[in-house]
Amino acid sequence: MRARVALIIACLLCSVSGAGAQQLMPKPDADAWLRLIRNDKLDLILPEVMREHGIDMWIHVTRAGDPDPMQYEFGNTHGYLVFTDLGDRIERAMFGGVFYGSGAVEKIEVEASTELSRAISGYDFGNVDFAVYDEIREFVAARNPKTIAVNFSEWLAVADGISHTQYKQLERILGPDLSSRIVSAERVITDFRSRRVALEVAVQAMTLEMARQRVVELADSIVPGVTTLGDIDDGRLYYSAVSELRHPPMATAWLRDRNYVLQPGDFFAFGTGAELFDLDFASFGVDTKAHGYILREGETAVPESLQRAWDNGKRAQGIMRDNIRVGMTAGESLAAIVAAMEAAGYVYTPFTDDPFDDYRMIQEYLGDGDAPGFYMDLHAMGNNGGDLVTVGPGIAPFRRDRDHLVMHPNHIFAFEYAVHTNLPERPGFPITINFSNPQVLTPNGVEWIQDPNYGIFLIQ
Amino acid sequence: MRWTATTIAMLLALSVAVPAPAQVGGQTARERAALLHQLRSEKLDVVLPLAMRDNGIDMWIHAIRAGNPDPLQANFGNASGYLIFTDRGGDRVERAVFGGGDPDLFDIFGSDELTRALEGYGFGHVDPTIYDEITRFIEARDPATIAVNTSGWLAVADGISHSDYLRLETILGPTYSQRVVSAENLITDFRAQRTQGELDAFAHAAAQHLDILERALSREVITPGVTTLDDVGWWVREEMFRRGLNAGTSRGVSIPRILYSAVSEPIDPPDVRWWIHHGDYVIQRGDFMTYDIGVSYLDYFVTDYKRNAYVLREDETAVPASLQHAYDQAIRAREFIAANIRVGQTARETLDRSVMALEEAQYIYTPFIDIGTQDYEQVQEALAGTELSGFSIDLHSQGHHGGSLVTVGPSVAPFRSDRDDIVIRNNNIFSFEYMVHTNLPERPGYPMSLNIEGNHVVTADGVEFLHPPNERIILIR
Repeated sequence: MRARVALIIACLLCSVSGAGAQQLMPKPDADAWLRLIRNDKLDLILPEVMREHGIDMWIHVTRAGDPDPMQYEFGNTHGYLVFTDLGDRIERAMFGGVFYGSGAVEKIEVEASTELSRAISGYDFGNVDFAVYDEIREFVAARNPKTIAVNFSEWLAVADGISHTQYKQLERILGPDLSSRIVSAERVITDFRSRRVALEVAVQAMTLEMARQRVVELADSIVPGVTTLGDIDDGRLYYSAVSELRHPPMATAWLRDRNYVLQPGDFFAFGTGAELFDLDFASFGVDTKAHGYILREGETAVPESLQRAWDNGKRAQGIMRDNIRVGMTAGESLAAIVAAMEAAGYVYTPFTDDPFDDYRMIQEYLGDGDAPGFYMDLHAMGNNGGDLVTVGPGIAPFRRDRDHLVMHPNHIFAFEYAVHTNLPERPGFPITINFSNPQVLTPNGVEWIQDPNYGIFLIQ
Repeated sequence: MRWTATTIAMLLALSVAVPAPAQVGGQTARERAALLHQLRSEKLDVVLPLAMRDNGIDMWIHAIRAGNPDPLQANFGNASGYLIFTDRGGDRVERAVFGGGDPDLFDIFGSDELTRALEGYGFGHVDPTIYDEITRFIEARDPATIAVNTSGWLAVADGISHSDYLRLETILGPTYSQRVVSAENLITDFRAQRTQGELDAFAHAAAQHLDILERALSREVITPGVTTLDDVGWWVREEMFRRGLNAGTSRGVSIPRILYSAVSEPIDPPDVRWWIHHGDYVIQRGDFMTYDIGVSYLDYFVTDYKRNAYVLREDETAVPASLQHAYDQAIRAREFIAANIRVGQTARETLDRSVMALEEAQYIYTPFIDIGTQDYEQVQEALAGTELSGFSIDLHSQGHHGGSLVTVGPSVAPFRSDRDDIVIRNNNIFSFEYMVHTNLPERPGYPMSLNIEGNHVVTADGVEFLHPPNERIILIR
């Protein structure tokens, strides 16, 4: 079946001006929302995460002036944030912070003395009696944890916030016996971040809706012969009926040049960012691509070959969707998707994420056959873009270090993949169309929290 | 579902007008990005060679890991991996990046294979010899001293993570690891010495700050008997947000500090920073307040300075004489301090000279420890039974942080003695902050401590103002 799907919702919003779109989507109160998110995560997620990983105590070390990768979760905490599993609850202690208070973490049961807080803040540097830190060692020793997770990690940057000097200082504070119990907090941090409370899913959805409104504006603004790829937030050209290639073809784009002027007969992807809160490096990303085609003189629809290629892509979405389930590991899901797609006649192209090499792989694997190819990169989302920094399950041939991670309810991920199809107009050079739109995984399966590419924007 | 003719017609009728870019603070996003790039580029061109040579550093390796934000992100943008700056003579310090970085800022780039390894591709299966590329690069330059962003002293110079430091040691090997020193002094100078472009951009931020602050301390925002301190704080926060000046995501806001009230009593022990300071306090006629805000501009600069205001009582046309006297005493002190702030002087020398000058002018020195309640006790003790005014000084560096101890650069304050030896260099942006304490006949035994603060610059000509300094008490009628 050929799906020539209308962008009904998008059309209805096409006349909305920039200012109007802003009014449609007022920003929520960041303070109030972050407070809820942070404390819900501490109340609801932290206990299960610590226990699943056998962590008795988690010491999260931060330093004022050296931004923490987990500021989204904890706010402005500076010093030693210590979580201890006491059985009936996770005790929260904060050793540090003078000007900054304890940030967003509430229900702090134990706080440092003024003397220790001032030392941690840097008062009288060089003249502080190190015995002031005994307070921390005595606190830890009294709880006698078997395992102490600390925020260092060779694997994950987000779990690697402790500086070298702070790590050495922590070892000195704890002494050799307690220091020998230190393990990386990378698994705790992975699960603490990637297991989402309901409001986080809502924030992600609202961010995506802001972006969608902006995409409609961008589509509305395209003037063939005038608008450049740079004007539509670094768009990617997939096919052109008239333009010459300017660089070797890539799997990410046939042509990627901000100065390229869009022409009738061009088929392209575009998208935009959005920011609900000012979370900077921890922002909820968008990573969504829309597709557009500029009609040529006399055309009223997308050319048949391109429409077929797009339909191949859209059809793949349904096949993959059925193989992403709560409780599966990323590796299991990868294997299940590949098997299902191959059974449906698609050829697997396991990308390395090098766009030139990957395109050559497509050419080789597809040959001159009719079968479409595919790869997938269903990476975790929320608090990072789509790069390897993002923690959480990632279903991709080049993210195999995440194979063992289990997908939990409310897993936010980019439903991103590409489908490659030979075109009669471009023999030997298949078109590869990237579909990407973050969605959420629940016990019901993959639930749409945004438009899962309903169709192609037609531009005259 | 199939397209209908009507739907297609709707699509074809899409308007073709290109929307004008949104502006914040009079600038588009593209203009801001260009300005930021210019600031970064100039800093590397102009300040980096000076900072490296002044500190005897042949090579600076600045390690950043994508996903772990770096304290110097303002200067390097989204660069990650190993940024290596080598002084090979000449005007320009060689700039290499093994990892990712703005191609316009660097001369030499690592291989794609190494970049991918640094980004995390193939984690656990990467051949460690891939890092030999960096080792060879360093060996070829054979630096006698290698500064690395590790520091027990300064958090801003302590960005390298524990894991990255261990890996760097492996890359360097024992010979070059022995040549590693902290980049703390280098980073201090790199940060604290400002280009002309930075001064201009900071002045822009300071102007926005002043406009917001003075509007906040007016009847536009304050209705005596109605407006709470929180109301004022949130108005400021919203105004910053509206202007695209990073309003932050921390809970709570900076609120005005009531220093004196003709009608209200404090509910907390006296603090040198305020007499009354809780968000639900309703501003009353007869209140004297100081207000300290900070705006973040371009995610690069942060401002931090104050204005003082008085809410006139019914039938009053001016500030009561005792309060005006306290204010005048504070303003008069500025010239004694300013005359002793000079390029080439250390922070400690500046403090000593300022204290001496003010003592000669009959002010009493109260060397604060930066604990508000204890400092106030010190003020009470020092001023007991005298009509003289007391003073304290906190001329801290300014630019990328507020007034906390995090800020790098020369800082003239009794509780920032770890910065005593740092020399004040040309174009040093600093917070000209000090307090003057004066007894009030209306409040015997409880002097009023008035904080005067502006963000200005030290040049070869002395202290130059980057915005209109405090010169009057703002009257709220």
